[in-house]
Amino acid sequence: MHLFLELHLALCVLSLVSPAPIQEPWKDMQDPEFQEAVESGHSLIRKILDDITELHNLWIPKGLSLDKKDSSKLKFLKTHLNLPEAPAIKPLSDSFTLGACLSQIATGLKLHQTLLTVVSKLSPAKSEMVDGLLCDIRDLLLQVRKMQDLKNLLSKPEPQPVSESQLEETLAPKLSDEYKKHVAAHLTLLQLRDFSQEVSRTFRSMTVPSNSGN
Amino acid sequence: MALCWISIHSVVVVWSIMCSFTANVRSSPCAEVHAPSTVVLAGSPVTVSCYIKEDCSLTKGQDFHVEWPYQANLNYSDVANQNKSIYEIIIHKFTDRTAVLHCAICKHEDCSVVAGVEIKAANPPPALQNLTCLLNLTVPYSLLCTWNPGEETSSIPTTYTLHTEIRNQAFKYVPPPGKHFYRVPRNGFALFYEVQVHVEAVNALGRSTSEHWVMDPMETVKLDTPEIQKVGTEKYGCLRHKWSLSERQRWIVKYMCIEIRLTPMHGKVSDRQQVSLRNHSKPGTIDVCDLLHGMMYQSEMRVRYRSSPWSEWSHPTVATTLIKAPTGRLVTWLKLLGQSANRRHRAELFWKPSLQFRANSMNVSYIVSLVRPPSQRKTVCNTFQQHCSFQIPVDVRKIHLTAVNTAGKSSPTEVAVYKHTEQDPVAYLRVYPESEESVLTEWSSPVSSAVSTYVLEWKALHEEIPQISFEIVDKNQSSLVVAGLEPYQPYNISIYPKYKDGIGQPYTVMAYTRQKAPSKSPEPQFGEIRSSYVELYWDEIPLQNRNGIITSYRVFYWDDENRVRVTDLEGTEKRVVLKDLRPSSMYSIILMTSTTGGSINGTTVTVKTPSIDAFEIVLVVIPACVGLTLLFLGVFTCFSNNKCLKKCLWPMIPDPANSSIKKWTITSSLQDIPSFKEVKDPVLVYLSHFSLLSLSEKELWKGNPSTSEYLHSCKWSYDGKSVNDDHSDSSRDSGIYNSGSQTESVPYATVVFANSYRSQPAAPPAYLRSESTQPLLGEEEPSSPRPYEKMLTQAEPSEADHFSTFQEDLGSKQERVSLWEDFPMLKSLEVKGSSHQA
Repeated sequence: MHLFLELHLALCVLSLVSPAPIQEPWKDMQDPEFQEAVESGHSLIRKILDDITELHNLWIPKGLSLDKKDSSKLKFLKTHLNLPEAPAIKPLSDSFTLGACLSQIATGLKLHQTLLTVVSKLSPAKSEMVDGLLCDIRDLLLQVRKMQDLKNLLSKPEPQPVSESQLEETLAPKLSDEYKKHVAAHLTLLQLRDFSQEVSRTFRSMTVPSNSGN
Repeated sequence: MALCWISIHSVVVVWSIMCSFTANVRSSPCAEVHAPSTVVLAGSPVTVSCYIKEDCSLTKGQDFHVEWPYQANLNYSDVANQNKSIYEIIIHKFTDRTAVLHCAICKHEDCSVVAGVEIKAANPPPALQNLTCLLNLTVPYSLLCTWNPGEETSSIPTTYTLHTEIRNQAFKYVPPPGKHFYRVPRNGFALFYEVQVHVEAVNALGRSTSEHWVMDPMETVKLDTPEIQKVGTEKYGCLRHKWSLSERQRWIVKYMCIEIRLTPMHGKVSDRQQVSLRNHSKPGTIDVCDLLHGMMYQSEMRVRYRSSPWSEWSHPTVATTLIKAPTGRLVTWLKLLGQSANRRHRAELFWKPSLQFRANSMNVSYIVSLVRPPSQRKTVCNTFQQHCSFQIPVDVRKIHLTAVNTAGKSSPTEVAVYKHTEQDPVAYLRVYPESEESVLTEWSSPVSSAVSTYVLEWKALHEEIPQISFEIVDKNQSSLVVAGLEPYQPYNISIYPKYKDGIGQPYTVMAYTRQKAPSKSPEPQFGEIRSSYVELYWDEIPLQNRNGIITSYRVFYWDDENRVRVTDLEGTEKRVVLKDLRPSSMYSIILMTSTTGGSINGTTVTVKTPSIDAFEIVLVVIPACVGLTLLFLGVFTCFSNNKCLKKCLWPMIPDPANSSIKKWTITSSLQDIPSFKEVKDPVLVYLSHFSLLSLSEKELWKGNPSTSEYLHSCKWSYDGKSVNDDHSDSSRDSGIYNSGSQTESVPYATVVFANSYRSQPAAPPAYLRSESTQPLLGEEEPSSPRPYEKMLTQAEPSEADHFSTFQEDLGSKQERVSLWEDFPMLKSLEVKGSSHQA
């Protein structure tokens, strides 16, 4: 009886001392190379968020801010323009696996590449800044691909949500004036910012604390 | 625009290459020269053919042959061709960078060039080397790639193309001709992703490619200087640094290599070691531990991404670790100065931290307490310095030294008080320079071998308040390197043997780690300046400017005609007299000061020696003239008047022939006698000699008639106080004589001084009868003086001066002759006097 109790206590102590087991969705992410890619992706998403703010300041007139309260007022125009929306990214779980998550992120990034390209074409902007943002999105996509490669999650490429030509055809008639062009650009950047924040949260959740630091 | 330019350039290059490789035909009305290419591989064989057209006017109906003139340097040979109108040659090894081949139609020896072709020899591009790329994170981001083209073949154009490839997506960039770098735009590379980069060079003869380099552009970036936002303390011995990248690079949240450098700001107290930490960290916070307690540190950091170049060091930030009470012991050196007075010693205590001592704070004060048994303490010093002077009562045996900071006190360091300070010093102490900052000291143990330890002490003499440093040395050790000294500065190094019951006398040496020439030479000052010499003196060089021990001075001086002279002096001398100078000359003087490390010349000073002045003439000439004159006069006088010489050289010998007895005072005739020091007062002098040579006859007879009368009546008196009656009788009788009478041979008398000669005791004067028969000298001289008829007396001078020659009648002559017979000497005197009158 005593022996049983002692064993039980020892197990309890061990369970307290030993680190908590890593849950299922993160088991695959302990790979240093994967973590490296996550860190790189996290850095790039931060850069994208910085670039969005900077580009918005240069491209969009001051009346349209990135504040969410203001953007809620543009619901009607958003519906009117019917800009394609990026897929939602849910927190990682058993139902929303890493593969699905990365796929959704890739799809969303490609969508925003197309959207930004078309909108910048229709609403002339500071091309260098837009190019820079597009390159950052591309680099982030490369990191996602790398993660998919590392985990053999890229069986087939995601379907293209919308092609440039299709989007340009759809959008061009709607952007009849400068205001609407600016609103389209504003909504594009706003949507990209929201998406990037979701991606940032996801990457943060993918990060396994490392002992390599201090 | 760039793309357009690149495409045009590419087209031109390709066209030129195409053209160069197509068959090269150069034709004229008579002929066509055909070469396979205008650019050929250097060293390869080239075949060139000349096709003579049928309608060529130069060949119609005429015999001709084809030649390839001006190709003497080309090794070629003809190639037989079945077609008679084609003349072909082969150049076996074409090495010229450029060659022009001419085809000429010749009739006999008359040749005409009808066509030609220019061919170039070249090589394919060499292998490209050293392809490097550097990412620039300044907007717009770019990747600057450079390469080394190798040895260029400038005779033909070469095109370079930079290739980048990101996950099967390729980009090509062509730099302008002659440039060997390219700034790849943002789309041509990715961040945090492998990019394959290579360069390709193409010319008419081939292509070469650099190695394919796979790299992450982020690994080539030199990041901006990081920022230390805050340094805080939460744990003992640790500093927490909150840091970030620069604002424009804050998006990078990856692990990075960081280096933190911590420098103690107060190196005086304890460890002076710099702490350096290298770690991987994301921007945020990092702790640096194992630091000294209570120490102010200056923190700096730099950062890099993997193998990228380090950023610059950040701006320093200062923070202090948490304070603790001091720990560990102090090393002490107690010196008792002089003898005790009023049962007290004057003492100096020096201390320094031991290796184990930790101040644990920036500001530490020290308390020195005198300990009297059993546990009575008296604080004599409370100081922030590391030395203290105080007085110790003779009964105190121990001193306690305690370090104190705001967090607490250290355990006291006990210092034993040694009373005896007069014990033996070491036998010697030698100091050898070892480096610019250190010297090697060597000493020998004292005669008594009971030394427990040695104390080596040194102090810088150039400092206004010399700080004493010391080292406690084991008794078995006999040498020590003293480091941390300054070159060219003087130090006093002393060694004290420490005995069981006291401390020995110090042995002190002044030393330099290195010596060099003094910083300046002293300015000579002029002292006395004369026509033939100049005195120079100077002050000692200040200690700070000596740079070594002054070994010697050397004075260079030269005159208007550049005749240089040198005077050497010891280093201890400060004065020199430059002698043998010429008057009225300008002299330039330089003082050279030397140490063993070198010499330095001072400034040139000039001085003009004065001409010889009147004073000097007076000093020299007048004494010389006076001397000469006196000498001359003396010699002249002596030789002209041998009497004087006689007087000077031998004692006066009375001449009885020219003598008559007379008495006078010395004052009336001092000049006629030799000067005797003893004879200063007018006293009576009794002489046997008396002369009237200097008196003329007139003078003799000059005077009042009474005198004459008196003389005629023979009434002349004689002071008979010191002369007896006989003598007075003789005198009286001597006045009665005939001047005309002369005798052939007369006896003479020896005249004896009535008074002593010089200091002899006086004897009564007496005339003695002479036994000699020698004739008297006086009769030979015609100018013998007249006889004195009356002597001057002191008592009655009016009666004394009566001189006369007696013109006696011849009637009384016979009586007088009979009278003189009894006094032959006096008789002879009278005879002589008569002859003089005659």
